[in-house]
Amino acid sequence: MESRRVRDLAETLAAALDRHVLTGDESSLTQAYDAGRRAMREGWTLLELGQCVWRAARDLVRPPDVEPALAEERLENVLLECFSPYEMFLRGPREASDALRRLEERREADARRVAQALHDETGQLLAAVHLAIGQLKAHVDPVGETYRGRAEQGLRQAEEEIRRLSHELRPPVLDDLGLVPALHVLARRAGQRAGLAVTVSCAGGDRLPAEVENALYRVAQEALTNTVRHAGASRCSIEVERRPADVACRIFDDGRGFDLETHGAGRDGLGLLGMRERVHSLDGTLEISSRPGAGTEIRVSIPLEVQHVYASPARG
Amino acid sequence: MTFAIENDLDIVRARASARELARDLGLPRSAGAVLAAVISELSRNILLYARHGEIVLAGLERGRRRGIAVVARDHGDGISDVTNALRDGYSTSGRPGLGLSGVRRLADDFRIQSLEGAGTTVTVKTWWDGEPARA
Repeated sequence: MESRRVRDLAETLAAALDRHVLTGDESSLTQAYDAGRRAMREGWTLLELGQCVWRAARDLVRPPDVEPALAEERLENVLLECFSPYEMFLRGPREASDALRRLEERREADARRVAQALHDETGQLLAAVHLAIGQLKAHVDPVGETYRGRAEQGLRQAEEEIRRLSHELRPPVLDDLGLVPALHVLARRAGQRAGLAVTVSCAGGDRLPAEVENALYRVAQEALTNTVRHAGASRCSIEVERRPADVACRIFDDGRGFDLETHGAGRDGLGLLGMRERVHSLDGTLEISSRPGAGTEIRVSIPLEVQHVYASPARG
Repeated sequence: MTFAIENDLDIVRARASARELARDLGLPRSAGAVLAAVISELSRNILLYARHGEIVLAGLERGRRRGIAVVARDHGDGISDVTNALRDGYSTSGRPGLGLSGVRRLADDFRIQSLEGAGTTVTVKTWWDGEPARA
């Protein structure tokens, strides 16, 4: 690799290194970056670049008036710079929680698709059946009419059930209007179905990022299902509060509660594990408090992205 | 912070500020190098394809995490085929892994909006975990 081009590049790197260690300036770092970039374009391997950088560092003229610690820091900066084009090439997908988040996204997309198809396609078919049963009315005797009436009633129930299932899978209102309206619908339906008084309150409006809205909705849905199935509660409240750096959600009922020791950490009979995983994938926290006879409370907090915009430095 | 990008000196200035911002936020020193690489590649694209544009930097916070957003904006011709532009080895870099595809690999969150004839905006967010590192 001792061609002229290689020597040229090695010299550029050595010069950038010398100058940066002496002055700490940014333009020599930019040169180091560009040198690493050129090395990569010209097909140097990472080992060749490493060797070249090592030689430059070994032959570095150590300026007497730069503190050793500072010189080392600057040396490190140059190393990072000329390797970063390679990092750009080699880096794989980041962290596992990212993968988990993408999985949730896909799951929601699937649910959306199935819910939509369920609603639209069966809806059309059932409408046609409705029409046919209606037309039958003119052609049957009183006994036939009794059966026709029953068929019509059964059909209506089936439609209602499909609507419910489709909504449970993925309520369109969550996409269209957001978390709080979706929670209101959820509360109303649970109330009607189970004779439970569910209230929803919200402080600080605005839409949240889709993955946060999805997570909070699913937690509330699961919690409400638990309340209806197991708690024997008469009231349940869902409170959402958007704060400067996070969104908090509290769901509590006045039901019979349960023993966290037996239903808590390890077991997932109540879907708690799934809730927790989902919230954790967004860096959030989920706490449950419950005691037999004292109701259940779930508190979730999910951090939100905050941007800090700083003033630009004066142009020199 | 907004930096007009018209020449190589502007790139150096934006890189230096990103490094400073990373230090102020307590990010590890390698974060400075990652940001500098992102800025170099995005600015290079601006100069090559649109001749001038701007780089905007903002600090980010989410729970314990700290991060930095880099936005590169130009009003050039735009990219006619974004999918292709993100493919390794496309464009002028001549080697796979650099340019937009490389930036995307360095980013935790990468967004590109390009309208033919109206320009391109690339938004890159990078996050670092937990306790502020002392570098």
